[in-house]
Amino acid sequence: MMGPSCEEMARRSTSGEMDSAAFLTRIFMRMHMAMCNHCKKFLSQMKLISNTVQKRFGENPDPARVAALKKRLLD
Amino acid sequence: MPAQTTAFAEIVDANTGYLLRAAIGFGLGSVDAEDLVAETFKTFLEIQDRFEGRSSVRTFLYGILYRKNLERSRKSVREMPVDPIEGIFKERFDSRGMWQNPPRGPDLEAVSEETEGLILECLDGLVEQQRAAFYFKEVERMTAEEVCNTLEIKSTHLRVLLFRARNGLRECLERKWEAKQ
Repeated sequence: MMGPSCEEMARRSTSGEMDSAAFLTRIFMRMHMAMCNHCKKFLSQMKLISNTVQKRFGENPDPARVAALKKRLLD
Repeated sequence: MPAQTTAFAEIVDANTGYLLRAAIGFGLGSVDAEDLVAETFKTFLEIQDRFEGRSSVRTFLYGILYRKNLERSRKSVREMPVDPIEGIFKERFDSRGMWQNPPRGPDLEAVSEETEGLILECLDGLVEQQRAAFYFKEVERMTAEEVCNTLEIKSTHLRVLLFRARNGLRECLERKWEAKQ
């Protein structure tokens, strides 16, 4: 397969190198993704993990608790 | 109210919710998370002269929060030089870099409460540094530069932390999911 290997795809996508990759590399990575079901699944699992963590921890804490904590900090 | 006190009150007002959310994101329970935020502001008052304005006040506070959490957990800031995830990852590929042991288990097309529960269980298995890097990147959507400033690490180290965190979570999810089949 032309372009990055599956191992490179998985390594780059999990270490955060995807965004900083050169333009041509990104094109090859997209082409690879379109053809490789295993890499597609790998990235889909990464997205699932990311979505789950965002859902669990991304919400703002209870405003009453935050207000009580602010009061504690400033008293 | 003196100007300095007013400025501190404004900083508390603008950042308490974010710090509390991050403390919970680090895996602390409610009471411990609130105590950690209180310790963070106490330290901020002690060392605020060191704030040089190169990052935002919030990033500076996140850095204090992170280091206070490490102190509380009494674990070393340094990671073990060899993480088993490196070897586990390599074994999934053949000499040409093609999958020889492809990923298994749930993905975006098979989301369930049970799967989400497994992922959250796996999150507790990450070491503090990996978890913090992962939290700041995935939940707070910080740039790589901001995460590096907060954790006081270089970009190469951040890439290693994220690689280990994400692959560690994925391997753990696959393992737990298969154990339930």
